[in-house]
Amino acid sequence: MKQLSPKSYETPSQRLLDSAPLLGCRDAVKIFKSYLKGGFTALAGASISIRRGELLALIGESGSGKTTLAKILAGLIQPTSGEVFFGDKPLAKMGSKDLLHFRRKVQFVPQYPDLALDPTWYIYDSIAEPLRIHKEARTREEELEKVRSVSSRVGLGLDQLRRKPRDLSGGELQRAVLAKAMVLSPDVVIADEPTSMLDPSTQAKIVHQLLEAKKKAGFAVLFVTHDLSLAEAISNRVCVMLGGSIVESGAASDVFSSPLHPYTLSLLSGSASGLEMNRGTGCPFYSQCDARMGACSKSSPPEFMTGKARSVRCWLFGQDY
Amino acid sequence: MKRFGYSPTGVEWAGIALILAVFAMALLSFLPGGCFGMPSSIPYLPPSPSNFLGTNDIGDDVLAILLQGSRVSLSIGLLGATVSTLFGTVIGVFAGFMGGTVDEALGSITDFFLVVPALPLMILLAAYLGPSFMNVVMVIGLLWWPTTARMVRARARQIRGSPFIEGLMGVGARKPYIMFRHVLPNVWGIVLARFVLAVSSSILLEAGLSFIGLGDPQNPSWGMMLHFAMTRGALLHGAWWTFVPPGICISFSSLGFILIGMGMESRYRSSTKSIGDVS
Amino acid sequence: MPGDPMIFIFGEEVYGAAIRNPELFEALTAKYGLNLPLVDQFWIYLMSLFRADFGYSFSYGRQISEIIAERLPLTLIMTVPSTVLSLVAGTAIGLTLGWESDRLPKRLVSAACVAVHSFPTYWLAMLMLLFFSLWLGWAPIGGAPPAGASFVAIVQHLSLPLLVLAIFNTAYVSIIVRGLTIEISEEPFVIAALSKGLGKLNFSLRHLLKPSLPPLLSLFAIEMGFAFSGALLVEIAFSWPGMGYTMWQAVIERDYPLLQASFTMVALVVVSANALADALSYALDPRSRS
Repeated sequence: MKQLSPKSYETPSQRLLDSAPLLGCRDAVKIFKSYLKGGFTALAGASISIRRGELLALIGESGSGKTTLAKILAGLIQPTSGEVFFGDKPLAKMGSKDLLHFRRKVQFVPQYPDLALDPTWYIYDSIAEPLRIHKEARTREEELEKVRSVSSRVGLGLDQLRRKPRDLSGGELQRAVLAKAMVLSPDVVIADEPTSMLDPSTQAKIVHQLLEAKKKAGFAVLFVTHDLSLAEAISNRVCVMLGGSIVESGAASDVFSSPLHPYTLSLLSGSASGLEMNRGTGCPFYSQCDARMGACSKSSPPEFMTGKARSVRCWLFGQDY
Repeated sequence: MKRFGYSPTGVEWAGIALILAVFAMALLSFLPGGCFGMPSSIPYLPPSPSNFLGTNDIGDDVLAILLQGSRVSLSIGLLGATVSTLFGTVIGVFAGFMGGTVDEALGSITDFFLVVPALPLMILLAAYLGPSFMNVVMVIGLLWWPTTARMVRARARQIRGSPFIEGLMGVGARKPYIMFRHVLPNVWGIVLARFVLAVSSSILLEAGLSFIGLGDPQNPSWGMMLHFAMTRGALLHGAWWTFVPPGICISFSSLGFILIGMGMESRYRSSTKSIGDVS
Repeated sequence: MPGDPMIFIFGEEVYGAAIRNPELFEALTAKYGLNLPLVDQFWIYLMSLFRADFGYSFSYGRQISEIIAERLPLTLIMTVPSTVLSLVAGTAIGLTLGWESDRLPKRLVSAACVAVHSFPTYWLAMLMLLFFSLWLGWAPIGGAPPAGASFVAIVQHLSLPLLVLAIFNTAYVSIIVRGLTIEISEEPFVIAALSKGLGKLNFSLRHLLKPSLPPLLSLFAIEMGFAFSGALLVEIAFSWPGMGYTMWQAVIERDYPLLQASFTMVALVVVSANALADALSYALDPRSRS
């Protein structure tokens, strides 16, 4: 994985910091209701924004809420409270035309490739489907051309296009899913652990295809993963999640070289286990934090900015910088 | 057959054989009347070379009526099954996909029809509507759909939870479009199996309704033959040839469809066990 | 549908008479309260149901509730014993067929059960009548024994209908129990117990019956419901004057009040049987509570 040098995919951070946010949410909360256990808080107030053309990595362990956040940003789940905005318009206030535009420009790539496509449809039709729904191809030839070009960009051949999902390997399926996400020339591609179900060599190939396509087309990527080294290698910015909150965020080079939040520290050193996180009041890392203080158990810390576009959600940084 | 991915087991072949026999009978019935035996004016003649199955109470050749009846029983069976499967599938897909209150409302309706005994209700309705071909088809179709609806609904719910459906909604596809172009093709397996089983039940149900006297006298089916045998005293005359053949026909045609249907259903079950594991 | 709903309230014959005679029409309308507002009519209907007053059957010239009171027990006398019989025999056969079910004779018998179940019951009845009544003369050709007949006579008349129902339902129960047995015998705990080397009979009785008891019991209750509605057509074949025979006569005479009432009774019995099944499975098997 270390073969991928960040320098070849990174845009200068200066340019990034000055561009306006493309997609994001403010104080998003998601509580899943369950008759058995009462409510389950998957997201406890997360605010994030994705800028044009950047690759933002969302890292955390399972159960940290990263998939929920990704789906909310993609418009697949409605937040219990909080706002999702695209451009500067909140999703909730959008009319059907704007919503359709949103759905065109923001695409989601799910984690499990095998059921991400209709098993009864041919791969070609599955990839072409977004074009047909949004009526972006006026003739058969135009559609064929667009599908062909996006398929070749992900390394999918005509032979695979002619088949159905059950005839394709995991890697090929994930490529097809990627192709389907890119066929409408989106502005943002939200990829939810797109490689975790694949074997290591295929993983590398898929990531490579995605980055190549991103370079060519210029879309932003929200990359959800629990693979830290992968995130470090490819991302411009990174957000660390724990127990439904974003505990640290900033430029990738900053966070990975000098992590601030105690959880990030333990994560990077390989000693973290998020299983005992605290979901009630107070900081989610309270029970395992070496540096915990009295305030940490009483209320959960707000986000403290420690630099331009660098934030930590920890009481340790509560003093003015 | 293999091109459609259909490879029948031994049991199913037996079923196919029976059904082909029935279809053959239906085809034979199109031949001109005198081929199989002249109607004599003598009632209750036992089987003989001139009337292979003897004659009934008014002297008509039983074999000829049997062949005619095959057309009626078969077509009512197929039509009734089509109506009930269509109805059950639509309701099942809607309930399974939309979920929530739609599902609950449709579920209550389905439960109601499940609980109320089907045959007595059919008798009641058929009595009100009057004896006619289409009425029998409608009565069967409108009362036999609940089990199909249930099974289709279960499958539709499963599909609803699949990632690709979520993705489709994320791309901006509308619900009716998804239901028709994506959910329906994926429930097709169970729908087909239920259709075949429905034909089997429809044949029996039609026979039952005709036996009571609610069938269409213009289109006598095998059930009507049994009805006439009962009410016109064939039994007392010991004229077994007037009711044993129609009964055999009813049983075997129904059996044929059941065998195929059961085979399809068990194959469908084993295939969805592997697909349905969405982790 | 025929135009005037009044047909269904009066019955065809009376309606026919009333159409021609305006005074009679008026009198009937008043008697049935058809000129009252709809809500009142419905209330009266509900109340009369409570009192088991189903109205008047013109074809028999009697109160319907009387007719039902006479006929319902006759159907029950036929269905209950045959259901019990078929449940016992069917369970035994089903268990045997389900255990080591891939032996050839067992598969043949299972196939025979499926075949028997696809025969129309009333046709089986006619066959029986032909064979046992006409040719062998062992049983009477249907009908019920007159009131106050001897026990032997009752048994004679009852035997054939009971036999037909029993055979048919036994086949059905066997198929279902066989399926259940096969499912259970594939559970891991069965294979584990087998490897312990328990005796076969001892084993089957204890380990197979216990977990299958709750679904079996609810099957029993549902079976009662099925048998009840299945018996209707058999009654017609045997001219056995129970609920099925009554419905048939009502259809022929277009006596709609009688038809409606008998349907309601039949539906009530079946629905109660199903409700009983639900209650039983709920009480007995905590796992099935959803």
